[in-house]
Amino acid sequence: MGTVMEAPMSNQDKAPAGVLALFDDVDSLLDACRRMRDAGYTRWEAHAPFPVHGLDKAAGIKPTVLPWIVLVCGLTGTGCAMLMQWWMNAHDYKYLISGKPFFSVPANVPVAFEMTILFASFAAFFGMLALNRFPRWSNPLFRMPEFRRVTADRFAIVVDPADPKFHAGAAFLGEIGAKQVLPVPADPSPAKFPVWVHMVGSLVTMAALIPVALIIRAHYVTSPNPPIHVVPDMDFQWKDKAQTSNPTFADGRAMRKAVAGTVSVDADVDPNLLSYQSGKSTMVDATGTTYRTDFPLPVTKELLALGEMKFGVYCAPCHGGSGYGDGPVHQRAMALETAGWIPPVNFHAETSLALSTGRLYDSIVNGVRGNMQSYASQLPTAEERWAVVAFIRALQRSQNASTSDLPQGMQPKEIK
Amino acid sequence: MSSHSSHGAVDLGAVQAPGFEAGRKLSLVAAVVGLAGALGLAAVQEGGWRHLQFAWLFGTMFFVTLGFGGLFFVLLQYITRAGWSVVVRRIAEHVMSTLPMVTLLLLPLVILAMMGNGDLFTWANLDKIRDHHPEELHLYEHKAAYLNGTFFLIRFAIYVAIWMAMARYFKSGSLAQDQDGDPVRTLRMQRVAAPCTLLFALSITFAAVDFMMSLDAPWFSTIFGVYVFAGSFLAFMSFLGLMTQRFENKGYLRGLVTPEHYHDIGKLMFAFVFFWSYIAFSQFVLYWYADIPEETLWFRHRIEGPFKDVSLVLLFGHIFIPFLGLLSRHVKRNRFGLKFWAIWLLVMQAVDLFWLIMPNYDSHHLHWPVLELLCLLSAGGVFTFFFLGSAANHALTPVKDPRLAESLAFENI
Amino acid sequence: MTDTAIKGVPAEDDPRHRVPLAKPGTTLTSITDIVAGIPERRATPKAWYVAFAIALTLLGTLGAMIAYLLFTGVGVWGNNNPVFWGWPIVNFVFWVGIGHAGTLISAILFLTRQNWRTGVNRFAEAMTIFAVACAAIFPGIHIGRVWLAFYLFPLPNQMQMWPNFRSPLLWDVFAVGTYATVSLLFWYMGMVPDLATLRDRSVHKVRRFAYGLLSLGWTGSGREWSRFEKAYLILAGLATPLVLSVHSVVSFDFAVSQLPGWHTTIFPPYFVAGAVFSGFAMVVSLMVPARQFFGLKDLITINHLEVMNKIILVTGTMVGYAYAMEFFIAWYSGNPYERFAFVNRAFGPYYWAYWTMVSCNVISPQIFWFKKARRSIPIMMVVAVFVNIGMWFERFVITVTSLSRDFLPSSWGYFRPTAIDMLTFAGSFGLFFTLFLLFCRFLPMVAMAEVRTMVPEGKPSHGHGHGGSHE
Repeated sequence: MGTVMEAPMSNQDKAPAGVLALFDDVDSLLDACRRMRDAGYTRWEAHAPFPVHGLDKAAGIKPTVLPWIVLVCGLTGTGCAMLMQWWMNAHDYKYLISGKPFFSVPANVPVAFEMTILFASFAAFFGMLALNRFPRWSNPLFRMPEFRRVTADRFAIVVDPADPKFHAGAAFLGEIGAKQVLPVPADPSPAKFPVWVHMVGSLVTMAALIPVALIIRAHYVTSPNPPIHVVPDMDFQWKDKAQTSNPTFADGRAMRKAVAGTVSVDADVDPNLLSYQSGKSTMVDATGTTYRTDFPLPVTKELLALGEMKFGVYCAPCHGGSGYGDGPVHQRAMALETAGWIPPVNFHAETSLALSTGRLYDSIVNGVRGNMQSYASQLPTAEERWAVVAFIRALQRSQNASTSDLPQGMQPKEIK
Repeated sequence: MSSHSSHGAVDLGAVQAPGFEAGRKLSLVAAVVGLAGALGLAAVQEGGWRHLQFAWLFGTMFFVTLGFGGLFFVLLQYITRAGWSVVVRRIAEHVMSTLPMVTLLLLPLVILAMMGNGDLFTWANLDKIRDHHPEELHLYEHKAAYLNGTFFLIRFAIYVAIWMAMARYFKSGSLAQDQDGDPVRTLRMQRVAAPCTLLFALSITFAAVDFMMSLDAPWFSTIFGVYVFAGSFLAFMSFLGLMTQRFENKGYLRGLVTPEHYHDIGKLMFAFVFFWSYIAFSQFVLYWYADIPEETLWFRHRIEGPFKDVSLVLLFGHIFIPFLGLLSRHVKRNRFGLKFWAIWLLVMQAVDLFWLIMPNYDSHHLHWPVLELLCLLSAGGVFTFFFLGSAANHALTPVKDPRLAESLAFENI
Repeated sequence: MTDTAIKGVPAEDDPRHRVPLAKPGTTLTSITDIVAGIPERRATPKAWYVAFAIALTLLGTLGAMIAYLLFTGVGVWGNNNPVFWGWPIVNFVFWVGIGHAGTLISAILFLTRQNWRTGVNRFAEAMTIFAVACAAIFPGIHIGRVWLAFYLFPLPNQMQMWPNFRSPLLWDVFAVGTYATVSLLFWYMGMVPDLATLRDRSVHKVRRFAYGLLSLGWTGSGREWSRFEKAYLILAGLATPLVLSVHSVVSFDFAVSQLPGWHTTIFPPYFVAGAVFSGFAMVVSLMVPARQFFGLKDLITINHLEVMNKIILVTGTMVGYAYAMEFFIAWYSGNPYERFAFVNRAFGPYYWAYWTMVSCNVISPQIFWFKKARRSIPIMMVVAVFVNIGMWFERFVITVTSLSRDFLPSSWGYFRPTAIDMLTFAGSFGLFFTLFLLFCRFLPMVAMAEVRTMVPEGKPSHGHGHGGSHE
């Protein structure tokens, strides 16, 4: 570990790790490089404190393969990103967000682009490190005080002992202008890691695996214990649930009674208006329920206009403007072939024509099991609900009219 | 790269352009033949006169945008005090000097709009809108303060005046320097170039709005000027690479232009392939994502129906293929490689303009663009006539530019 | 050609020469001594400790504010109906924008051979990384339940859900994440040769070990340089589109929506120009004191600062162009909501923010049309600070005016920040300056290896006359 521990140089018996020649300026370095190259030296390096323009040519350095590595990795990034987005959003976990397609190239371009750049940058950085055999913290050169200025303001050529012409190197370097030629002492540090490094390394690795193993185990093993709430979020809230006791109150009841004098929202509404099961006239339908068949309030033009407006807002989307059960929601469901879709009621079917006014009111207030939600909150007053019922009646009349419905004097005459 | 090569090294014989008499004659013939062919075809075709207006706009805009690119290139070199480009800057100066002349080819269209002909510029005839698209009338009426014949003519005159003034100033300054070699001229032009760039940006933005965006008057996009600029500069760089090679093949600029210059031209082409893609994608994705009908309609005309194919050509031909093609430095330094991609990208600029303009004529049918090509030929003839006329009898490179030595010696890393 | 100076023209403007960027007389040795000398100083200057104490205090404020936020909830901020995106996103965009100058200088200016960048790139890159770190805090704490922040990433989780890749907010995670990573790689890689210089100069064992570890065994051999330069070129090529994409994706957060004032196509390039603008302003405002304080005036000259001021002028004017286009198209579109949004910006309840933005961003840099102003230290400091204020207000105007008054007048509101908002933002400067001061103290502030190539000693004379060369 040349950088780390300045071990005493007690390795005179080992063969030198190379020969170092120092130069004072960049021109003499370039000149020496050309002459080294032309003299047929193959295993040597020129060192400089900055990228020297023209050194590649002078030292005969071939272009690096790095661009190709980067290109391949970049395209891999694009591919991975597209595959990931498709798999996550269009395959493994499909969910619809604001009507966007599950997989749509325009929306997936930004992430694909960023991943391309990320992969390519990693390739450029780590590729450069790998090609340069970095990190390499131990280097015989780092032990030479003469080499230290080569990263600041001096230049050097180092010949490797593996070069076939190594034996002549020192002399040749002197000839071609080196200011100083020195042998590079061999690295005295042992080639292998000490045993304790291996020991500690294995122990740390094993310790690091324990949490992973626990997580994997938890994935497959069931436990009767409640889960650990590292962050409780809103799992445990200070609130009283229904039918529980709370010692704060004298009567010990957690649920409080209404304060004296509270008036119900329905309090001053004529009960007749809210009643849909009893009225002036009633009938018993097929399910055995009694419904009223009349209206608790006078059916006026204004009431019908109100009903038309409310019907258009709340009912027409499913039931259709004319009440045929063909509203846009239904059509959309048909177009999408939604599984389990129950078509909205057609008000002009025979069964619908037979429905009592009370039954229609009931549907509005309580919904229809499984098909239609309650519209009580959308139509909060009894007038509005009865207005819709009246409008449905009017619709039914309009679509199922006979000539006898026309006013007196307007009936068509029979053609003879 | 200081001074180790003096101006004396430039062989004046290799840079002095001839009169280009034959070329200018030929280009005039092309202009006349193109125009005659287009008029003839328009006369026999049903609705031909309307089609001709669109085709004429398309053909002319191609060369107008080349001029935009040339003008910007010259301004950019002065602003950034660039050294590498001096050798090829004169070619840009000649392209720039065609801009006012070629723009004048649009005058008939402007006059038609002034006379209330709504064939091309639908906003010119509000009665027609009232009859056919009453639902859009309020938009047209709102925009009439800007989109009206008189103001259109005034703006047109302003554009031509601005471009003519800038082109003349920079060209004459550069030519005068050929004579006296006075470095103060360079300094003066550097100073003037900065405010000129501002003027350039505003003028081409509004010109792009007027001549191309307003064809679909209800539609709008704030990035449109940048989009047109990106395409223009890309087309110009391609043209510059092509033209430099052409002059070199003819024996000019020999020994002055090196692979290093082509490499830089190629790099700018590559950069603007990316920049154009970026701008085009930004414009598309913002409208696609928000999905507001009045904004997406413009794209619907182009990505549904027959123009879908044109859109796909742009997607692959203007983005992916040239991006990969120009990635390598070897391609940029290779004569054939650069020429191939330069021609390719010029074709793509034409396709892009076709895609911008022609769906407004008829987005439901796509024919062989014969009329369009005839108009392109005609406008190209006019462009070439003025280009060669500008180049004739002058040096093809600024021989006494103070940075010429730097340009000649320049090397890429 | 005679070399007599042109009358009234300073040498650096003479088109016949390129003057050396560093001060004449600078040598390989002096560059190393100046730059490496800063981290090698035995006694840390007192002023540094003072600055560091202030920065740490602010950093502590940030920590306290975040802790308070976490224990109490996002209600401590001014974010409320209808402005749910208040200061956190404004601060996020502000800091990300600041983080654009570094990569622009190291990548785009490298590709366009703007050699002056060598003096300032290391500094600006460091600033980039610290600014992105500050930016990353805000979306992180804005999500409310920060312990679930890993939902932002496509990681397998106990709910077996994946993030929504059709959302621009997720694009942002990828864009900012990639940007932070690539900037860090770029910065670190560029620093490796300089760290080797520090390693070889250090006397102290601990320093030698630390710099030795970080410099990865760099020896400066021809092959190392060749691969290094190729990797640097490639990273520059990758970082250039990346730097465009990052602020574009940030702009998508706003622009893909349908909100008037946000949904406009010029947003991506406009945000990028604004980001570069604010980044350069920040570089100038930090560079001026740093070069003074650390004795870097020979390497970072007034010429460097002048060029940066020119870029501030150019990008500021681009931003002005975007403001103008937005206004024109808001009118031209005929969309009443869009028109209202812009009139409301200028004359609505936030008019003060709008006009602060316009005067700081568009008007104040116009003084840089004058050479004297570009070379004046006090003027450039004032403008740089103005620009930073203006760019913060730009994000504030965009975010708050559009949200506070959208389609339904009945839901309009007026945003007011709380003290916590303000202290959190102030605290983020603490993080920025803490990191920055550590950088100044312990790492090479100027890219020595690159500056060496800019002095005469670093340029090989074209040795065609030398024997044995036949290229």
